[in-house]
Amino acid sequence: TEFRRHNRSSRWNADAHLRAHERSANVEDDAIMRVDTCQLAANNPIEDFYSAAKCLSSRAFLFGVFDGHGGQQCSRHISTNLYPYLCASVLKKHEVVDYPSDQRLEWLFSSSDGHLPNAFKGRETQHIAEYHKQFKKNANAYTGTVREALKLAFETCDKDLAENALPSAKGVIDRHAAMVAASGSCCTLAHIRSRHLHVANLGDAAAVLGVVNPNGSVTARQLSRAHCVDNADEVHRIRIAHPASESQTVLRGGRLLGELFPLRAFGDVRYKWPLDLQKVVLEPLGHPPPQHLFTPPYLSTSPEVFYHKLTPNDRFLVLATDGLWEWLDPDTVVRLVHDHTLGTITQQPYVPKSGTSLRQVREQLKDRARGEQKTKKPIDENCATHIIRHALGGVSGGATKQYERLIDILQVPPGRARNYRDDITVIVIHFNETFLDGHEDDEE
Amino acid sequence: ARWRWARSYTTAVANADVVVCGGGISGTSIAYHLAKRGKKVALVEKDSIGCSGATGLSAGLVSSPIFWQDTSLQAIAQASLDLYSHLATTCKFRYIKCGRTYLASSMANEILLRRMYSRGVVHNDKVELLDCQSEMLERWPFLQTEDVQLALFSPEDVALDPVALCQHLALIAKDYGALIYESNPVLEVHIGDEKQVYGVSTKMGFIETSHFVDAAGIWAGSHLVKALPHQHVQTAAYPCTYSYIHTSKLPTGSVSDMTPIFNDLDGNVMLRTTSFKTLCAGFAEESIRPLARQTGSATPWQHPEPDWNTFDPNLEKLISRCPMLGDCNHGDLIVGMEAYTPDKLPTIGESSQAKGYWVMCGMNGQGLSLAGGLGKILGELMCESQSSTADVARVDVGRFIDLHANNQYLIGRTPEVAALTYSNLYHSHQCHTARNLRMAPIYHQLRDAGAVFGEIMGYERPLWFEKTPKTERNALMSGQDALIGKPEWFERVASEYEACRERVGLMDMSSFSKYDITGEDAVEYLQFLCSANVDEPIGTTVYTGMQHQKGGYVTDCTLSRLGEKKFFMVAPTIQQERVLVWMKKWQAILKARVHVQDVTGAYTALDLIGPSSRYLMGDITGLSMSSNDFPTFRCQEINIGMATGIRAISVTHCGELGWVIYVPNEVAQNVYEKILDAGKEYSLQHAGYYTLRQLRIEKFYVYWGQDINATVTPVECGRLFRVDFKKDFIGKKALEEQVERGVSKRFVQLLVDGHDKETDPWPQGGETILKDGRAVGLTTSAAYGFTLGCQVCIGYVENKEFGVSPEFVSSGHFEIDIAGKRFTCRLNVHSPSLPMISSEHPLHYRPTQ
Repeated sequence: TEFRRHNRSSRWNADAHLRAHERSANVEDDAIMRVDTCQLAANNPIEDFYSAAKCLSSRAFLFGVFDGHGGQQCSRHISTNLYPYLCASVLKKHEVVDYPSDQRLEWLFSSSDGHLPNAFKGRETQHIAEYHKQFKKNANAYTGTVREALKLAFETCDKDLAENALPSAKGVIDRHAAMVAASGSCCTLAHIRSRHLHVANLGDAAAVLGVVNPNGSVTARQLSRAHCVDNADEVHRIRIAHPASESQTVLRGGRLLGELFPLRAFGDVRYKWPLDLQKVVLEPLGHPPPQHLFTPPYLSTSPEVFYHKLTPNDRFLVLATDGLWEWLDPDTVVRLVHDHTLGTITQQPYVPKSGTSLRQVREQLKDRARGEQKTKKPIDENCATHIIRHALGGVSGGATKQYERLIDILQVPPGRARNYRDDITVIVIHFNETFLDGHEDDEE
Repeated sequence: ARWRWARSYTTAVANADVVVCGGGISGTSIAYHLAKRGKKVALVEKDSIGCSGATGLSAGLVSSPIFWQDTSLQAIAQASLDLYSHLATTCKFRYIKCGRTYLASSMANEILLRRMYSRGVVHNDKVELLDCQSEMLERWPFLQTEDVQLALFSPEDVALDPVALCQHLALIAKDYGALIYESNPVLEVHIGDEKQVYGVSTKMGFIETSHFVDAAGIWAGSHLVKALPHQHVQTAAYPCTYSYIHTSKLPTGSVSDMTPIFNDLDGNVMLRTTSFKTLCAGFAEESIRPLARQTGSATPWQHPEPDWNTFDPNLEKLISRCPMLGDCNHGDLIVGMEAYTPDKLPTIGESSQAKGYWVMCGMNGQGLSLAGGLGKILGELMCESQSSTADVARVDVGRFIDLHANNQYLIGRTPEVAALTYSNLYHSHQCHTARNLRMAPIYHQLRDAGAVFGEIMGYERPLWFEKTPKTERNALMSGQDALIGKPEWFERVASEYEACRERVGLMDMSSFSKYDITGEDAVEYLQFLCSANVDEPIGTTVYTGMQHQKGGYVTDCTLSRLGEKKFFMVAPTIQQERVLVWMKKWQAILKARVHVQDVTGAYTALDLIGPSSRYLMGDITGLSMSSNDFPTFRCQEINIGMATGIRAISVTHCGELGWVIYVPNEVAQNVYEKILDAGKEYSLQHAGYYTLRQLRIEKFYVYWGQDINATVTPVECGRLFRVDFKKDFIGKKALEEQVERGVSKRFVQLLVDGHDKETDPWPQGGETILKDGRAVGLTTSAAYGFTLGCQVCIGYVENKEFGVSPEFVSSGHFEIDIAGKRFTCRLNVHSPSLPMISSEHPLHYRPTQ
């Protein structure tokens, strides 16, 4: 009995640990039904962030995970500041209502504090207003696609971010701005407007779409490619951007200049700024320049953008930082989400549609009961938590073994846990089948 | 149109005789009956009269008395119907006497219907039985009747507008002077010195009163009473949800407002089809949920969302019974809420936790059918202390003790009770939930010996003992005996019976209520409460009744004098709370220096029954147990082996030679093992309660609660020889008058002839007794007489006009109607003399003379 009590207590602790930062939101708007999120820290403080918002002008939804490194300053900053740039980048043809730039963004949720220092905030508002003005002015200067707009927003956001860190006319350096610029952040962002899904990726997080087949099985569709040394195209892009003389130094040990793992990121101005500027701004703050810094910039802030038109077979989208992908492959994640969704669907109350006869009600209830017998109720109601549970606890061996592994790995406190795992952030966006199943509108 | 009152207040009323809480059928009924009796009533309802809670959600269906096999509930139901039909003539609301059809597809339910027919046909010759499927199809073409073995049409059932009924009751009460406050929740009930109610705080102000009636339905017992330990009065009722569908009319011309209500007993579903709507309810246990109470007892219940999944088992049965229903639109799935009690009987009376706090709750889904009569009874209790309408023992709040009000117990039990809403429960019925609550210290030894347990008031007692028990068996009986043919325990009880009559049987009687009564005034006090003379020498046991002012039995008990001022009392199990309340009430009235203590849980009672019990007792005590040294009706503290403090009483409660030994619990297992060891020499055999039942009924030994109750006097049941008229006692005057006047009711023993125990329906109690073809009485309990070789019943015959003389009993042709089949029977007014085979032939104690 003592052992069982201890065992149960450990399970409660593990559950509490996993669920501490879980969150679920019923959006039920257009294509999106529900969003589950969860985070598990390995760093102390955590360097991962996530946020979700709606652009009121275009009725687009924005979901992002932000994997920071070298401190949390940059990822935190981006998770709250990127979206205004995106909302300012609404194409004319997608504008439902023309709101001023400072009234376009409606936050759904965020893992970070939405409030910035007042002095800093004023400057950011000014930046965004200026960007919005420029965007509208040059509206026809590019092909006018969402992909281009996203790229422009990313790049401008990063440019302004770096600009904030520059010395003022009087030579004063904002320490906070410099820290934001010195640290870095990857970003995987989903831009969903009606049936149109764009995934803008920067760095080594990933977005995976769960697609169900007519036979009921489910497959994973990658909507992003990690920007790391495994990405041959990315390596090639970097090598040709720099002289052949740097071919041995630009990428060493699988890392940029032998230091940075993701090959694209916000911030990280150490890989972007010239040497003399770094000596003035960063070195006093304890950030020496990297070795072999000859032809900056080495790091790009341009996202790789994938487009996908959502169909009724697309059930969900998983955005997760690389901490998750270390443990689970996309196929497993998609299967976990699918099974979890089945398990939770059978628990939701049945409501008959209007016009259903009692005999039809009975048939539908029988079908559900059949489904219930197949699926099993998951431990976690939150889908994102369910994924993290299986990432660390494993997918085999049953609940007992899973808990054993989970308890082992969770015992290591944040900070020291960094040696065994990375911060994990997961967003699961569940799509609304009914909306996607509706009449096709030929708006493009 | 429905009424609403302009608020009849400018400031809260200063005082009232009675504050009634709850404006549903219970509250308006009691308010009506109290106001009619001249009481100043304040009716307080948190929302609107009749519009919230169970009454507002109910479908307005009233069951007629033939549904109930208990005579008290029959009388209550009849009183309700009388009230409603009277109101329907004077007020205008929907009242449709559509009747109800019960459908049975199994033999068990078929016997139930025949028993209902047997009850009903005495009072109403329009009650019908149909066993022809094509006739059923002709009458109700929308039903699937191929598998229906028997249908019973009950013509007296009614469908009415429950909200209008409540509002009319309230209006009439108002005419009698009642004050009615809607939108006025009760905030607190105040009790002062000696736990007496002195006022009620409501949202509209304070009402001074000495009587508060809690008729708040599922909210009964949840009102704040700060002075009580739990800060509210505890009640043994708990709300559950049942569901029903409200949809359009069936697509057929065969339905009308006069179409009967249909109850499918085997499917456990109900159908009300009219010319404009269809209501279908189901009572599958898996579709019933107890409500979740918040942590604070004062916070309200959450009304749950309808759940089609849990209703699905009922939907399946409904569509298979009425296939046309499947074509109807899904309609609305409505969640009804109702309060249920552990024994499926309502609860009325004054709470022992607070003086002046009365309850009327736990309607078990039959609120409309019973509240009219229960309100009348509660009015009688509050105004006159006694009810003339029906015996209240079965519905008394005092039948429960503290542990029955435990939420976990109630959550476990009440869904099962709710599922039995439209089932008839007989004395053999046992629930399968919330078992093993109260167990004797030797429970596991009895279990290992083969005991099959049944519970009474939560107490598990062996009913019979299996011959070769498996270790992994389920030792708890659930369900009820088949009402036809030999029950499963028959051979085992025959064997146990034989042991008790010819050798020695060991029976666990620990469930009996036990009390120590001590104090300076103990003798005077008990002499006044008891109708027998209790001032006997120390070591004497007296079998006595306690009567109320009208001479009826409050209880039936044994009193053993252990010391000059010390008595030990044993009473029936279901009397544990009620007897204590009665004794404490009179202790206060008489200002007696007496201490009454409930010691039920302190003793294990072992009954050694049979001729060899004398020798066995001698062996285990080392004392002389001869009839001179330890005669019948003697009590003594003895040692058995190493154990001391054992109270041995030479009474067996079934008219056989023997002893009940009350063993302190801490030495119970030691003594039990000692008895078993010594008993091997005498082929001692375990015996269960069913054996006791066969023994005592064959001896014409009436039991309180089963045969006699508060409406029965010693004169009527052959116990007059126990009454001591040379002293003063409660009820003496009434008994003297009855002796002078004669009785119009007389208890008899019936021996049933021509009954085939293999193929005929078995009597259960509640059967009609006929003299020369006319109904003259009812049986109260029944058993198989192993010595007499036939079914034996205890019952009573009545002759309200001319009384029951010896000639009335000895002349004429008597019959008993068991499930519609009549059997000739012989009557005994005294205990028969039963022969024995063994060598010892003691002069047996005669329970009835």
